[in-house]
Amino acid sequence: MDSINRKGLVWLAVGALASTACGDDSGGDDAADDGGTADGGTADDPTGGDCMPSEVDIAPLDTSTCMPAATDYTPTINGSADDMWPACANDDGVYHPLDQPGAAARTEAFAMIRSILAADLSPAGFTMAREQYALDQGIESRTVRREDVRYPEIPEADHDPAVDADKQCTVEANVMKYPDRCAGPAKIAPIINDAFMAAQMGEGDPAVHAARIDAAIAWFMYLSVIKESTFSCPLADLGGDCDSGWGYYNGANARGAGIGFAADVIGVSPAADDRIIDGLSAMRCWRDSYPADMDADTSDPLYVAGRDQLDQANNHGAAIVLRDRMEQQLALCGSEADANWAWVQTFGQGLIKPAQDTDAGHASTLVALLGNDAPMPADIEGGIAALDALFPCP
Amino acid sequence: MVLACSSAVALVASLALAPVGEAPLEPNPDPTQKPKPAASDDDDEITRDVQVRVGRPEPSERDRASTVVGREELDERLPRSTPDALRGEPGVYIQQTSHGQASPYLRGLTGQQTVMFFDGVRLNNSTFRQGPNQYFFTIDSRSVQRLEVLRGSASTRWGSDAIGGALLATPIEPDFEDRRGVVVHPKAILRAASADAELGGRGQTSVSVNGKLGVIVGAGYRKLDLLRSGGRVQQPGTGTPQTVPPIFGPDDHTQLGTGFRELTDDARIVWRPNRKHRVTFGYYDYRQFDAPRTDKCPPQTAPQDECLTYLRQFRTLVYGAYEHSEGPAAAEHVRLTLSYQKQHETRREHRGSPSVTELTGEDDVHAGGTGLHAETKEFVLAPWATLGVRYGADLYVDRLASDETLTFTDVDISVERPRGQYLDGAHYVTSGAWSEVHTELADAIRLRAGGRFAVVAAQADEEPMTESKAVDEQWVTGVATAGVAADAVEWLTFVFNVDQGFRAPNLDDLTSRQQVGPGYQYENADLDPEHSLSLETGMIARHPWFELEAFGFRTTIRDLIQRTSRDLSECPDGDVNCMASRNRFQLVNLDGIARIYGAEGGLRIFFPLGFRLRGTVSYAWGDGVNPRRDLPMQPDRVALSRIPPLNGIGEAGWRSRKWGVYVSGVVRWARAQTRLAPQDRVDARIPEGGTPGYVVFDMRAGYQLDRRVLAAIVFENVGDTAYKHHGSSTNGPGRGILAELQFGF
Repeated sequence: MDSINRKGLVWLAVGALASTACGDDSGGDDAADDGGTADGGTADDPTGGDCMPSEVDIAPLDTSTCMPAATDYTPTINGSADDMWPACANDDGVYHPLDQPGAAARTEAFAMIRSILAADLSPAGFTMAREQYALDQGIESRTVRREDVRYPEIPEADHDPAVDADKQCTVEANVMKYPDRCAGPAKIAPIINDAFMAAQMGEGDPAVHAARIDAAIAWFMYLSVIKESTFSCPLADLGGDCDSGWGYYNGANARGAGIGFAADVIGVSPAADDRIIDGLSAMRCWRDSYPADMDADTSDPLYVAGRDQLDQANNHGAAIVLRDRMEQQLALCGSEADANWAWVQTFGQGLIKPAQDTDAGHASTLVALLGNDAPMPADIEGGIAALDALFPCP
Repeated sequence: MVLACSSAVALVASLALAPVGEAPLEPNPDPTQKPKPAASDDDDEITRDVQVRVGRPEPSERDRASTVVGREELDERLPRSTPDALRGEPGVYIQQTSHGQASPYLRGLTGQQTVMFFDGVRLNNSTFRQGPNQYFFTIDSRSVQRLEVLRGSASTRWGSDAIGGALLATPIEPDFEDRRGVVVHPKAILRAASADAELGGRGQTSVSVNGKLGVIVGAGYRKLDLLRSGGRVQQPGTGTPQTVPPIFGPDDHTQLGTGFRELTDDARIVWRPNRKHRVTFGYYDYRQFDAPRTDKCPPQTAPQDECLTYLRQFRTLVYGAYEHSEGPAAAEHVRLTLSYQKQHETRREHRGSPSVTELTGEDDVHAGGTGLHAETKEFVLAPWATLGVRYGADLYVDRLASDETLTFTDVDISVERPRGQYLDGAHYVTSGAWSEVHTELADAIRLRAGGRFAVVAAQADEEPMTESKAVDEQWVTGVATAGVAADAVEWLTFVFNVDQGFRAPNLDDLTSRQQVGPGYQYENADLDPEHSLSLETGMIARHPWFELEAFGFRTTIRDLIQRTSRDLSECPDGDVNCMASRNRFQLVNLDGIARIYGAEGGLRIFFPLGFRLRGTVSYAWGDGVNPRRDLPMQPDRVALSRIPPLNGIGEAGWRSRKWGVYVSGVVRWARAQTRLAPQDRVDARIPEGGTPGYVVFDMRAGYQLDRRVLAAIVFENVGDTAYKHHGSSTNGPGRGILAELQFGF
C-alpha cells in the first residue's frame, strides 16, 4: 500500500511535472528543451551528469519500535480512553473544528497549482498556476508574512513600535535582519517568485521551476501547521487558528484523504498522517478547554504535551517526505533529477531548525547535503541516515 | 432692545415680501418649492451687531428635523471635505475610512441608507455599498452654497434610500446684476493646512450679462500629504494603545496610508429671460487621485508596504434644468431636470513585499436620470385655511461596467479575473411618482400627508465560473408621510411627523464581492427591500434671540439588510477569495424589526454685539434581530453596526458684521462607544472594546472685507488630543492650522 501511494504521489507531483522537459519535445517548448540541455541532460539523454547509479539500496525507515509518549493524545486508540487527556469532541478520531478554516482554501489552491503544472509546463501554464498562488487572501498573502516560530522571536529592541509584536515579520527591516524567523518573506516567497518569473519568461528548465514552486509551498504549509496550531491558536481572537493548522495540513479533510502537504505524507506513510492529525486534534482539545474569546494558558501541561506531539509528528511527516525524495533521486536522470533535487534542496530547508535542535552532527550532514548541487549516492545515503536518526518516529 | 427686535422682525418680513427677482435668490435645495427670498448678507446697520439670526439660512421644509449649513459657516469651519462640514450638526456623525473618504451618519444610518442630492439631482447610484461610502466626499465643498440635512425617513419626497435621512447640497450661483451690462467677478481661493500639509486653491469667475444670463466657472486643485494625528487612541477593552489602523510613522503621530490629490472643475450657466422662466446647465467634475484606504494600507496582518489605493475616484455630473414659475394653479411652479452622471473608480491593491502582484479593479457607473417636480398654488379654502400640493416623478437608470485584473509586475503579465467587484453589464432602474398635500389652518396648524409609488428593477447576467447568480428582480412599493405642526407662539412650533422610507437592494447588495472592513462580503441575489417607519416629535424655535430644535425619534426598519457571518461551507462554489478569508459575510434581510431610538438637538443663542453661543447633542441607540440567534450562546438581538456614540459640540463666538471680524471657540466631544455589533468586534477599524470618547478644542478666527477679501483661520485640536470617530480608520487631525484666503472683486 505504501509503495503504491508513494509512486502515485511521486509521479503526480514531480514525475508528471518533469515529463515535458524529459520527453515531450513536440510541444514547441523551447524553454524546456533549452533548460534541459543547460542543466546537463534530459530523459532522452540519460548520460546527463545528474544520473545516479541505481544499485544503491536504501532500507525503509523502521518505525516498528515507535510508541506514543505518555503525554500523547491518542484518539485512535480506544477512543482516547487510555491517555491522560480529558474527554474531548475529537475522541472519536474525527477532527471537530471550531469553524471551517479558510486555510483549507489555500491548500486547495496548492492542489490546484499542482494539477495545473502537472498538465502544462508552458509559460501560460505557470501564469495560470501563479494566478492560483496570488488569489486574494490566498497562499501568497500568507507566505509574505509567515514566520518560522521555531526560531527565536525578534528581539523587542528591533520591534517596529507601530506594528503588533506578533507581526514584526511584516516589517522589511526585520525580514532582512531575521530571515530565519521571517522565513516566509525572506526565503519562501522569493523562491516562488523567482521560479514563477523565470518560468513565465520561458527561461530555464520549467520542471525545475515547478519543483521549486511545489517544494516552497509545501515548506510553507509545513511551517503553517505548527505556527497556526501552537502560536496563533492560544490567542483570544484567533482560537480558530487551531483549525487553520488542520486546514494547512490536509485541506480540512478526513484522515487519509488529505491534499497538499498531507497528500505527500500519506503517500509515504498513512500512519504518519494519523499521528499529525492526532497532534492537531490534541491542540484543538486543549483549546476547547478555554473560552474561545479568552487567551488560553500556554503554560498548561496539555498545551505543552499537544505542542510537542504535533511538532514531532509534523517534523517526522516532513522528514519522511524528504527522505522519499532523496531516495528517488538515486534513480532519476536529467531534468527529472534536476527537478527532484531542486525540490529536496528547497523543502529540506524547513527541517534544518528542528534538526539542529535535535542533533547538531546529523543536522550538519543534512545542511551539507542540501547545499550540494551535485550529490553523489553516498552523500544521499548519508543524508537519509541523518534524517532517520533525527526524526525516527512520528 | 424691543425696538431692535421689532426692527429685525420687520426686516425679515420685508424681505419675505420682497418681489421675486428683486432680492437675491437664495439657492433652493428643494427646487420644487417656489424660490424664497433670502436674507441678505449685507444687513442694514441696525441688525449687524444685534440680530445676526437674520442671515441664517432657512431649511427647505420648516416643520421637519433639519439643519442647514450655509456658505458663511462653510467659510468659517474650513472643512476638509463636504462631509466634514457637517460635523457637529444634530443627528449627524462623520465616519472616515480614509483621509480621502468620509460618510455622514444620519440618525445612526449611513451610505446606502441615506440619500444624497445635488441641486435636485440624485447622487445615489446602484453601487452604493453597505456601510460608509465615500461619495458625499466627491462634492467639492468650495462649489457648495449650502448643505441641508433632513433627518429621518423621507422616501416620499426623496425616493429609495432615504431611510436615515437626506443630504441636500446646493451649488453656488452666478451673480446676477440687473440693469448692468456685462459684469465679471473673478475670485481666487488659496488654502493650506498643517496637519496634512494641504496646499490648494480654487479660481472662479462669475459673469452676469444684463442681469439675465449668469455664468460661473471654477476649477480647483489641492494636494494633501500624510495626516498627522494627536497619536494613538487607548483601547477601552484593554487600556492599551490601538496599533492598527492606521499605521503610524516613526513619530507615532503621522498616519501612513493617508493623503491624496484632488482636481475639481465646474461650470454653471443660468439663463433667466424673465421672472417666470429659468434654465440652468450644470457641470460638476470631481477627480480624486491616489487616495489610499487607510485600513488597507496595510491590512492588519500584511506586510507594511501593502496598500489598497483608489488611484482614481471620479464623478462627473452634467444636467440641465428648466423652471417655470407663476404657471397655472395646478402647476404654479415646475422644475424639470435631465441629468447624466458617471462615477468611475480604479482601485489598485499592491501586495506587500516580496510580492510582485497587483490587483486592479475598475468600475464605471453611468446613470441617466430625469425628474419632474411641481407645486400648485396655495388655494385659499377659507379665510383660515389654505391648501397646496406638491408632486413629482423621477426616473434614474444605471448601467454598470466592472472588471478586475491581476498583474504580475515582474513579468508584466496581466490576467483578467472572471468577474469584477460587480457583475459587468448590470442594469438598475429606480423610479417613482409622489405627491404631498399640505394645509395650514388659522395660521397656526399645518398638516401634511403624501405618498410615493415606486418601481425599482435590477438585472444582471450570471457569471458561471464564480457561481455568481443572475439577477432579474422588480420591486413595487409604496410609502407614505404625514405630519402635523402647531405654532404655540409665533416663534415656537411643536411637530410630530410620521415618515416611511424604503430602500430597494441595489447592485452592490445583489452582485458585489469585496473585502470590506470586517472581512469578505459576498452578494445575495435574493434580497428584499427594506422598509422603515420614522416617528419623530419635537420642537422648533426660531426666535430673534435664539434658535432651538429638539427632537426625539424612533426609526424601525423591517427587512433590514445587514451583514451576517457565514461559514466556509456557505461560500459560493468557485469563490476562493471567500473560502480563504478569515471572516466571511453575506448581506441578508434580518427577520423581525430593527430599531433605532434617539434624540438630538441644537441651540443657538444670539447675544447683543454679535456674541453667540451654540450647542448640539446627538444620541442614537439601535439593535436588530441576531441573524445567528439559533446558534448556542447567541443573544436574540444584537447592536446595529457602528451606531455613533453620544456626541455634540459647544461653540462660543463673536462676529462683528461692521468690522468683518469673527472669532470663536469650539469644543467637539463624544462619549466612548462600547456597544458593538458582532461585525464591529472583528472590524480592525474599531479598537478592542470600542472607540474611546474624546474632547477636542478648536479656535476659529477670520476677517471679511465685503466680497473682496476673506481671511479665515482654524486652529484645530489645540490640545493635540488623540481621538478617533467611531468606525473610522483614520484618527482625527492633531494640533494644526487651517488657513484660507479668498480675494476677488
